[in-house]
Amino acid sequence: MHPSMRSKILIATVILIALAFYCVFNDLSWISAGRSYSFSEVWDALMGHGTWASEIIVRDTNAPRVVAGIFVGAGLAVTGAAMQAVFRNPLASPYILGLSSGASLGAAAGMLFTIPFIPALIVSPVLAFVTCFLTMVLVYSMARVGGSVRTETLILAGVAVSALMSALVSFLTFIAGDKLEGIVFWTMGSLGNAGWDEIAFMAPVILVSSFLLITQAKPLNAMMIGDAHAMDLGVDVRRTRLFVIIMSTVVVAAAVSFVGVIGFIGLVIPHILRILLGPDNRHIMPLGMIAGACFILICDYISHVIAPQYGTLPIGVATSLIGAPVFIYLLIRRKREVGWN
Amino acid sequence: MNGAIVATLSAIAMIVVCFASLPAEADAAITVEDGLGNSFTFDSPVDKVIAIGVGPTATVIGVGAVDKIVVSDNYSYTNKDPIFDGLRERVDAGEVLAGGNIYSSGKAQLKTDIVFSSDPETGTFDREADAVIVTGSDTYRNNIVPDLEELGFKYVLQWYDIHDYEKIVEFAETVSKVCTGKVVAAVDEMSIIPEFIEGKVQDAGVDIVDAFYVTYSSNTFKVCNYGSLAASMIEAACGNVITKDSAKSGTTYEANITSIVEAHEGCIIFVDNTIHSSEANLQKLKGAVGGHATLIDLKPIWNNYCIESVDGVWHMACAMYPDLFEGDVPEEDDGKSDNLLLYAAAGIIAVAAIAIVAVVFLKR
Repeated sequence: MHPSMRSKILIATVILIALAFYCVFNDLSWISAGRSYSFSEVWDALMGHGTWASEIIVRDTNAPRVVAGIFVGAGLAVTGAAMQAVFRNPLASPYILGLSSGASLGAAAGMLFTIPFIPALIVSPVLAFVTCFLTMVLVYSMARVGGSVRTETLILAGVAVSALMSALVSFLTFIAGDKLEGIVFWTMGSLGNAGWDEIAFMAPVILVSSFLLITQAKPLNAMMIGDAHAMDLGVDVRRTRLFVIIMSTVVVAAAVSFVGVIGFIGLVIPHILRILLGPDNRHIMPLGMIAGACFILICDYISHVIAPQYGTLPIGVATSLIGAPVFIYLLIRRKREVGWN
Repeated sequence: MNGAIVATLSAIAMIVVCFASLPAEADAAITVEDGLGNSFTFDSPVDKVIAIGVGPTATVIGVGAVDKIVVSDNYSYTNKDPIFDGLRERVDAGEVLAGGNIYSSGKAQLKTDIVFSSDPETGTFDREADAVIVTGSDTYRNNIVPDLEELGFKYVLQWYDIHDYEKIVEFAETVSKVCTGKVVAAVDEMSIIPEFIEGKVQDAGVDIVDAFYVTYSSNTFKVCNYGSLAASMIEAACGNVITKDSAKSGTTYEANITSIVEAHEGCIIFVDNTIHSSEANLQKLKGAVGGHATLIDLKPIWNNYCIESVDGVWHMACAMYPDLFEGDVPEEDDGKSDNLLLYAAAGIIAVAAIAIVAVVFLKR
């Protein structure tokens, strides 16, 4: 690696880690509009030396939201990079196979119907997880032609299945009655839906799956040049693609089933890092995890301060409101650098 | 001299008796029951209140206790009704937190606001002595109440899914007692006005007017049925609800407005905010009604468990019986406090007169 690239990556790593600490403390400090704890008060509360209220607010209310955000942001960013490499498409995101629509269908069904053998408290996340997976299986099966799968067919199948799932979600929303609010806000995303119990499941799943995705960074670099070139370099393209899709689905299912649909992280973060650090997935994917966590925590803080009289903005709306203009700016100013050509 | 002393002592005695007979508001114990049948006993009216929901917030404000609110919800803060102006001022001044709500989207912020206000070191709300008042749909009860109970909030008064005007009156009476120690005049009005309306309608011997309530949801008009709060209010205003149908489930059901109106020419239709706030929906309704009925807008805060619902009942009566009722809700003449001062003043004058007579008599 070129020394200047090495130092760039080092600097980027240090900045991202420092930014991550700042974002964590900043988000933990939130009380209400115009009121926040100082970082020292946050530290005292975390260490058990705070006031009655600061310990409850920082540790019981804010901390689960922040921790969930870290894992969700990290997971979505790394799967976004993986999907963009697998599909060789800079517009690919973690939801390209219709995974978000599939998870939304499961969550909506869980909110409306009683499912035998599944406790009511976990029925929505369980169904969301299951339907997310089933969507991936359906899309992959549809795209399989004679034992092989083309990326273009996968994308088209994903679009078609996503449309079907979205229509079913709309139908369930229509018949929801007084459960309508729950379904609508779930589809907009909320980090507050995840408590420590949910994090205990989500965190190791996302962490392990993301780590496994990062181990595929080198083969993904080869696949980005083209399937034929990748095979020439010794990459089992079919197996790698299937493995990456499965791991990405696991990450997305674990994230989305508890916090709902949060967009733009997987799309924007890999591009920003590629502009700064180049297209090597061995750097993009691990640093993307830290950057994705920072981005979601910044969006979470903004969602609290943007219009406090109307309550907390759904996190999915905040990430889109911030992510979309950033992406548009990148497209306009650095057209040639977006992607990896 | 002796006469002067007697007169002075009599005057003092009269004054002491007058002030002693003023109601001792603050010190009597208050026992109330909430909508779930839970009983609570307060040593005295609470110092601070957490009011979750537009209804309880408006009711606490309506009984004159807006200064006692420390936490409310963002729906109350953003509600355009003038009754919330005082709340808005206090929120903007930082004296009240109102960033959350009982629904999934706002429950975390609501909990944060409540906990922050109840901090024993920095907050003003006493978890052991002050009251939390919660209303809404039973669906959302578990979003905040279990947390409050776990955090040691002793007085969490709850009402859910009220469908009856009389239950709203009971709710307002309870809130009034908790906040002020007594049932204030504005709450008394809530029971007096329907009795007044009924009496006047009976005395006038007029026919009972046909009426119903309509709302718009899921792309269709829905009318009120058994269990609808609006239907209860129409009946409290002496109307005949023509859309009650025991064969239909739910407090509202989809119906063909045109056929209802054709069968009841000249009926009164009370229109929900979902219709009169949308020009498209309003025009649709007008098209369905075709001039065969009168449309009357209902304020959202009237059709709610709230002290303001008596205004709704009155306006319904004015719409159905315009020859008998008009204008704003007549205010109840409390009479007590004004007459008491009058009597006390008259007593002092009488004592002074007696003293003068006594002095004149004894000096002779």
